[in-house]
Amino acid sequence: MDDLRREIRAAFEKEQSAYPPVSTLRPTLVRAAAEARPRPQRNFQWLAVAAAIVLAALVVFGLMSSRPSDRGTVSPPKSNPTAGPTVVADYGTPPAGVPLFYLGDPNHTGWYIGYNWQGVPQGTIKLSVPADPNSYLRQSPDGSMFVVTPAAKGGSGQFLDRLLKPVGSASVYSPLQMWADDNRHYCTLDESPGQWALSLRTPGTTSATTHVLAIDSENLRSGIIAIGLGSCSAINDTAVLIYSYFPRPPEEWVVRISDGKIMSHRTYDTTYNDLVSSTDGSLIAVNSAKSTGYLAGATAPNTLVVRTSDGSTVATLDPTYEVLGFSADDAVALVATSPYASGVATHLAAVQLPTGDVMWRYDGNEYLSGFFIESSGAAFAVMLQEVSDRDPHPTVYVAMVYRDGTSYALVGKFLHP
Amino acid sequence: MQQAAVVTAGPAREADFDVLIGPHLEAGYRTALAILRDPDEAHDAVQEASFKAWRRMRQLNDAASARAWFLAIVANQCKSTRRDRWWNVVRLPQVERPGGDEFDSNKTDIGRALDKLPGEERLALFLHFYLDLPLDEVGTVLGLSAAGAKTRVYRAAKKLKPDLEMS
Repeated sequence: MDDLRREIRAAFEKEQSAYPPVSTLRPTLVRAAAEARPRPQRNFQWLAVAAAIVLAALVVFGLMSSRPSDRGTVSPPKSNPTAGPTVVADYGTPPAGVPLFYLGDPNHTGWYIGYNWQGVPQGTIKLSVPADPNSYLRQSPDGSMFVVTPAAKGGSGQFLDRLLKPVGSASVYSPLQMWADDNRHYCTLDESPGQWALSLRTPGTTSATTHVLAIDSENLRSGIIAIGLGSCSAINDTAVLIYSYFPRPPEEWVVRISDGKIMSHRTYDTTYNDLVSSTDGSLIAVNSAKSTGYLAGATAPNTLVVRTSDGSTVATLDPTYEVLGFSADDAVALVATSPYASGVATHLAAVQLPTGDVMWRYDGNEYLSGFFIESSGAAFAVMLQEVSDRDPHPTVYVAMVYRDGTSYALVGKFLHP
Repeated sequence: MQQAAVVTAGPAREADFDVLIGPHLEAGYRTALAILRDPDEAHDAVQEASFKAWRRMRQLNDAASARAWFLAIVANQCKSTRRDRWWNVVRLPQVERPGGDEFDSNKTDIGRALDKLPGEERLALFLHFYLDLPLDEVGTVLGLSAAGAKTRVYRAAKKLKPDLEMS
C-alpha cells in the first residue's frame, strides 16, 4: 500500500506541476470575497427533510402548474393525458424527422429515451459502449445529432448520428463549441495568440468556414478569458459572442458567420452580470447583477431583453429575474427567479415577451438540472433534480412547459443525459 | 471537542476570512485543478467557492474543520461547473486539442489509471494521498463518514492495481 501511495502521490504531483502556484491567489480571493455582497441566507434544512418525506408527492402533484398563473402563485397540477408510462421498455427505433429530446433511461445504462414535444416516448437509442460517467450526451436542437463529450480535458468529442452511430470525432482546440440551429453544423470559437476565430464546422468532416474576428476589448486584453458563444445560427448566418466575468463589464458581439464581419458590439456596465442569447441570435438578455444575488456594487434596476439588430429594448423584467434561455420563437423566456447556486433550490418562471407576464412558475425544492428548448416552437422541457444528488448524471424529473403556460410532469424519473 | 463559534456576531469580516480560509485557498485551487484540469476553470471555481464560504462562514463552528469545510464547498462548486456545461443542452462542451492525456507519453501508468477512475474515487485519492487529509476530513469533503471515506479510498486504490497489472 505504501508503494501505491507513493506512486499515486507522484502521479498527482506530476499532474499538478503543470500548473504553477498563483502567487496572488490568497489576497485576490480574500479581497474578492470580502467585497462580494452577501446574498440573503435561507434555511433549507427543513425543506430538505420535507422533500425526503414527500418527494414523490411533491414532484407529481405539487411541482408543476397547469394553467397560466399570476405571479406569485402555483397552479394545481395536471397529468399529461397522452403520455404513457416511462422508462420501462425499449421504445424501438425513433422516427426520423421528428424533433425529440432524449433522457437517460435509469434502468439501462447507455440507453436514452426520445420524447416528442407532446411528452410521448418515441424511441430508444443505445450507445454500443456506455459512456464514461464523466461524459455527457448532448443532442443537437432537434435530437438528430449527438456528441459524447470527453470525460476529461484532453479527450476528444465523439459525434454520433440520430441512431448513435459514430460519424467522427472532434479534436480541435476550442474554448467553446455549440450546435448550430440547423442541426447539421456546429460553431467553434478558437483562440490563437492574440486572435479569435469563428468557425462553422460539419461533424465528422474537416469542412469548416473559418474567419478571424476583428474583436478587441479591454476585457480580452486583461487576459481573463471569459468569452464564449452565446448562439450559433446557421439559418440566420449569425453568431453571438458574449463576454461575462464578474466584476468586468459584460460585452456582446454579433457576428456574420459567412464572412466573420462584426455586425454590432455592445458593452454593458457592471450593474449587469451576464448575457444570454436567443437561439437565432436576434435577442439577448442582459441580466441585472441583482439576479445573481451576491455581487458587490450597484445592480441594474431591471433585467433587459434587447434586440441585437438595433439595441432596442424588447422587454423590461424584474431585476431578480435571470434569463436562462429563450424559446425558439423568441416568445417566451425561461428565467430563474431566485439566484442560481449549486446546492440551493432553483425557482423558475416562464415569462411572456414582451409583456413580462408570468405564464408558469416553479417554487419547489428542487435544483435546476438543465433544460431543452423545443427546436421550433415555444416549449421547454425542464429537468429538476434533488439538491442533494451529486452524481454526474443525477436523477431528474421533467416538466414540460408550453407557451400558454400549461405544463405537466413526465411520469417517472430519468437520468440527466 | 467542538469549539465556540469562530466568527463573532455580525457580518463576516475580512480578517476572519483570511485567517480561517486563506491558508486553504491554495489547497482549494489544487483540488479544483484535480477535478476540472483547467487552470481558468479551477480559478473560477475556487473564487465562487470563496464567495459561498464567505456567505456561510457563520455556519463554521470549529476552526479546526475549516479546511475540510472549505474543500467540500470547492468540490461541490467544481461539480456544479461541470454541470453548467450542459446547462443549456444545445451548447457543446469544450473539445480539446489533439494528443490529449490518453496519448501523453509523459504520463505514468498510474497517472493513466487514475484518469480512468470515476471522479469521486479520483478525488478521494487526491485528498488522501496528495493533500494528506485524514480520512475523517476526506469524508467531510465527500459527504461520507470516516469509514465511508476509508472504503472509498480503498476501493479506488484497489482499482488501480488490476489496471496496472493488465497494462
